[in-house]
Amino acid sequence: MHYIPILSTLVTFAFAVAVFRRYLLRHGPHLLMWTIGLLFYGIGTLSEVILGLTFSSLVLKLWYLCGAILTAAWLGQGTLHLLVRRRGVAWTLTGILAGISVLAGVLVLTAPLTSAATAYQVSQPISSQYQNILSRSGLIIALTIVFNIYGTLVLVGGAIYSAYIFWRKRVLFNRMIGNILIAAGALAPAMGGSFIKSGLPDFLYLTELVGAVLMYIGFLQTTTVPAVEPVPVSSR
Amino acid sequence: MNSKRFRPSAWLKWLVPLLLAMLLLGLLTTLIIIGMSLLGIKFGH
Repeated sequence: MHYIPILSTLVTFAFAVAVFRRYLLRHGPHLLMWTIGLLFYGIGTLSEVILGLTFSSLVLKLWYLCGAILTAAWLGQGTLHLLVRRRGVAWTLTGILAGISVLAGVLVLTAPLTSAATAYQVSQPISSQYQNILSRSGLIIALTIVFNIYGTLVLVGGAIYSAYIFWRKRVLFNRMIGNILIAAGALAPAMGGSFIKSGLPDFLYLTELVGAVLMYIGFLQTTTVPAVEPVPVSSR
Repeated sequence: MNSKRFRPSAWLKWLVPLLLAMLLLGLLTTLIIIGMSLLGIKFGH
C-alpha cells in the first residue's frame, strides 16, 4: 500500500520542478501558484510515506494542512491567474488566500490530538485514521471544505472551460487534450477526498497518484509544441 | 498559415463532448458531496 504515496511524491515533485522551470522562463504568476500548489501536494504525499513508517504528530498535521486544505486552493489559484485577465482581482484574491492559509496553518498546527493517536497503525492509510486522531475545530473543518470547493471549482472548472473553448474554436489541439487531462487529474484526488469526508470507501492514495500523473501529462501536453499538427484545416 | 487549427476526426466529434460532459458531471458530483459533508450528511458509517 505504501508504495503508492512514494510514486505520487516522486511524480509530484518532478511535476513541481517542471512547472517552476517554466515559471523561470515565462514568469507567469499562474505558474508560480501551481508550483506552490504542487509543493503542498508533494508535502502531503511525502507525509503519507513518513506516516506509513512511523507516527509523528507534526507530520500528521502537515499532511492535513498541505494535503487536505491547501493543495486544491493553491492549484486553483494558478488557474484563476490564468483565466482572470484583470490582474488586480487575481492578486487581491491571492492575498486573501495567503492570509487565510496562514490562519489555517496556525489552527491546524496548534490543534490537539486525541488519545486515539496511541492506537495509530502504520499499516493503515492515514486517510482512514486521521478523523479519530486529529481534533479539528469547526473552523478548521469549514476552512477545509471552503478551500476544497474553491480550488476544485476553479481548477477543474477552469480546465473544462479552457478545453471547451479550444474545442469550439477548433484550435490548439494539444492544449485542448492537456486541459482535459488536467481536469480529470484534478478531479481524481478531489473525488477521493470528498469520498472520505462522506464516509465512503477510501481511495485517496490511488486517486492522488492518478491525479498527479494525469495532470503532469496534461501540463506537458499544453506546453509542448507538436512536431506535426493533427489534420490542419488549411490542408487541401 | 493556419497551423494551430485542427479538424476533428469523426470519433473525436463525439468523444470530446462526451469527455467534457463527464468531467462536468464529475465536478458537480464532487461539489455536491463536499457540500453535503458540510451539512453533516454522510453515506457510510
